[in-house]
Amino acid sequence: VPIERIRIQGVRGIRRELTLDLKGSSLVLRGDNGTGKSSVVAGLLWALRGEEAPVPGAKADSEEAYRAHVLDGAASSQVILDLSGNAGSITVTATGLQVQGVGQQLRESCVRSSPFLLRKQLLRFLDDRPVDRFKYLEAFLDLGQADETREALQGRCRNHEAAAEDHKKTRDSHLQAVVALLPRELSPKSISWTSVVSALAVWSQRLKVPLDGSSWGDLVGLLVKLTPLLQGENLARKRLALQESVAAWANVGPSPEDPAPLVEKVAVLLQSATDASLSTLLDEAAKHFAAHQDTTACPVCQQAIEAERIAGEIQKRLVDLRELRAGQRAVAMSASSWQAYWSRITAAVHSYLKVHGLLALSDDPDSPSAPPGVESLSSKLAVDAWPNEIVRIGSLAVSKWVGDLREHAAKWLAQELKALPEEDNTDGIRRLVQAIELAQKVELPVAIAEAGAADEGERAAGFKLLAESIRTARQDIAQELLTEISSLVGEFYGFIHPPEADDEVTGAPAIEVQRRSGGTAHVRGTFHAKAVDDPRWVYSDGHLDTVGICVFLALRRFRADRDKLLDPKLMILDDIVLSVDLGHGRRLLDLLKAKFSDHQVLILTHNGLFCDWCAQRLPTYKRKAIARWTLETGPQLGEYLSTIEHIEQQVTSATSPKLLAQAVMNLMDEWLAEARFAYSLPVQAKLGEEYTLTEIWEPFCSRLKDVEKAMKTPLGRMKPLLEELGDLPKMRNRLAAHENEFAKEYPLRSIQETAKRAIELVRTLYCAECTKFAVGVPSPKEPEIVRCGPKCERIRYVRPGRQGAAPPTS
Amino acid sequence: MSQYSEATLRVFERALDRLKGKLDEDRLATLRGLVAKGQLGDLEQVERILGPKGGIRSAD
Repeated sequence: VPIERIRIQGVRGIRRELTLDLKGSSLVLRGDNGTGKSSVVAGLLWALRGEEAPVPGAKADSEEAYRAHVLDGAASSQVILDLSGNAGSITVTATGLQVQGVGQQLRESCVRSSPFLLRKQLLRFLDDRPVDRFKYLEAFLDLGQADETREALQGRCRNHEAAAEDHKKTRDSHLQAVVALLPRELSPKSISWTSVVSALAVWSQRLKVPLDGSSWGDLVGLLVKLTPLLQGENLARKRLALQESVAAWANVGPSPEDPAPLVEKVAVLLQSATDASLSTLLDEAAKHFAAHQDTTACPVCQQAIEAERIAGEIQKRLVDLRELRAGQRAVAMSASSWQAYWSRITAAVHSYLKVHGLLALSDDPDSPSAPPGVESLSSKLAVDAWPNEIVRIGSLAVSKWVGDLREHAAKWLAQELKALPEEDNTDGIRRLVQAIELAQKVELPVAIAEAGAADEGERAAGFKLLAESIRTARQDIAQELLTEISSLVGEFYGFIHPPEADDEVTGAPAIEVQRRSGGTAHVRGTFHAKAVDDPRWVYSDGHLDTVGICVFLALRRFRADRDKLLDPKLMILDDIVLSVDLGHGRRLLDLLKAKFSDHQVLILTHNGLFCDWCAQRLPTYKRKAIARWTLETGPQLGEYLSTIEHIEQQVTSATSPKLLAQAVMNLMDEWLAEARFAYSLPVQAKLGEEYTLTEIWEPFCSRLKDVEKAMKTPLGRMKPLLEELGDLPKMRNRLAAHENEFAKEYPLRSIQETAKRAIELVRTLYCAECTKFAVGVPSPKEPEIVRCGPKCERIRYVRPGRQGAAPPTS
Repeated sequence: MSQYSEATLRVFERALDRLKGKLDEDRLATLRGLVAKGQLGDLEQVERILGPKGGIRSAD
């Protein structure tokens, strides 16, 4: 929606309200230096971008405050922009901003990508550092939402990181007490549960308190072991008990011989010598037979006997009986050995169980299984029962079991002895135990804190990953979009400086975008077909200005194409052709016409010729001129309407012919100065372009008569009016005369008539509504029509015989 | 419909393409849904998708 009307007051040099009635059209506003053009731009900057807001009442000790000094005595500062079709408005005052309808959208869009191109900004683009240039270009890419989203993600990432940090601090505060107990050289550089546990494990090894492993569970196990040992003399007692158990096992010695052969032999002998009680008698018989070897008959019964055989048998039986007695003694000895052996085993086992803290071997799951029947072996068992019990169980089984048990016990005892801390380290071990106990107390809060830190860290990592990916993607997209913009810059520059032109030595600039330092944009050029790293080295001021203009136009075109619905399609170009010659300025206007017909363009310039070119090249643009500026009023537009009304009032009320003539001449000076451009009058160029009607009147009359001649129809009363006003130049020159002399030469009545005719002439050829002069319309459909605008009918002359002549409406 | 500008949409789509292999397809699809609805700035939803244990839930 274009801007319908601009109203500015109390901004820089604008004191009373200045109204620019655009009616949605583009505008060329011409004004000499110091007539308030920049104040108009300042007002628009304030309204559209919130920049350059006036600061009333401030001391003039800064640039911003100094601007406000012109406000003294002026009405309150305010800028009102009305949008076409009552679609909305923007009002900025010293007290705030009010936007209605699509005004909000317009303002936001202008804040995002500036529609302003000011003279002072033309070279800034080239003078900027590549980093700043990149930022300037980026502002047009409409990546604000991506940036906002990325910043929001990064913000949440930071929040989670801070929360994780808080958890870590909580954890550290818990663990710090444990770390304080560690030897200084074992203090972990980075405090965590793992590092503290690791340090405790290393400490225990240094104190020769070996762990089964280095896990927290091992340390807790160590705590269980060490805590009772460190009470009283328990450590010494434990060591003694272990050593005694080792000695008891050493005292067990080898197992006695297997009693089985002896028992078996005795059993056999017992079978052959069932009556051992006869042995004494047999001894006596043997002695008898030995004393009477020659006897052949029994000395008792005298019966013949086989003395030698009987003696032999007796001897044999005696031998058996002796062997039996020896065997029985051996069995008895074996029984004693096994009983004693078992007694030693029992003592060793008891010492083992005691030091192990067990009630029975069965409580030690790692001990070897006893052979069946062993439970019958006991110190209460009768001595003579031992051999048979051993034989029943099996001496080999018993021996093997005892051997295995001894080996198992020895291994365990050796481990226990090895694991037993030295009495010399008791103090250190007590501190270690204290540290482990403390760690045990903080284990849960530390675990909660570490879990919290891990959770927050993971959340932070997720946001960071996404934010970082958006950042990188944004760089890629920005690079791609800026490449498109660079292409547009080249196209527009080629439009203004066609490469095929004979006198053209510069080439279109190229914008090279790199990712370095968050993004850089270098501008390269060509000069005489040779690449130039910096156009400023060789381009003329005009070429450099054109680069700045083309960059801005490319950005504007880019934005308008990207955002066809929402882009305001507005440009404010302030004095941008200062160094551009009129030939290239003309191509610039052609470029605006060709590529920016969808834009509302406000061109502010002090260059009258450029303004004239605008009238010819951009006929749909409204034109306004700032006639003068005074401190009391600010800029005054040369729109003639109010001036005409003022003169009309004076015609009936004025008493001074010279004062009335002065007003009429001011009107005609300004109006004819404008007419000079509208009708391309052949007037010699003049420094400052401060023409008076004296210099323009003749060419003006001549041109208008030619137009009327070509039309073959009177342009209203234009011709007689020109004749009746033929004395105007002379009257203009006589204004320097004394009032009395002037009144004598030009009486009031004469001046009143002149004023009426002058006003009639203006109204015949100038449409106050369109603020345009009546000019011919070279249209194939209507080749012979003259009017002020394509749609306006207020001033319309048509050649007779075609569509009839229509007099101008008053 | 997404409220994002064309350029912003391009950025988000490129960013999610870059996350292939770093995030599983389910999460990426859910994030793309947020982009389509113009809600990638809804941090609560993003957190549910990217948070611990990858709780893929409805992004409504």
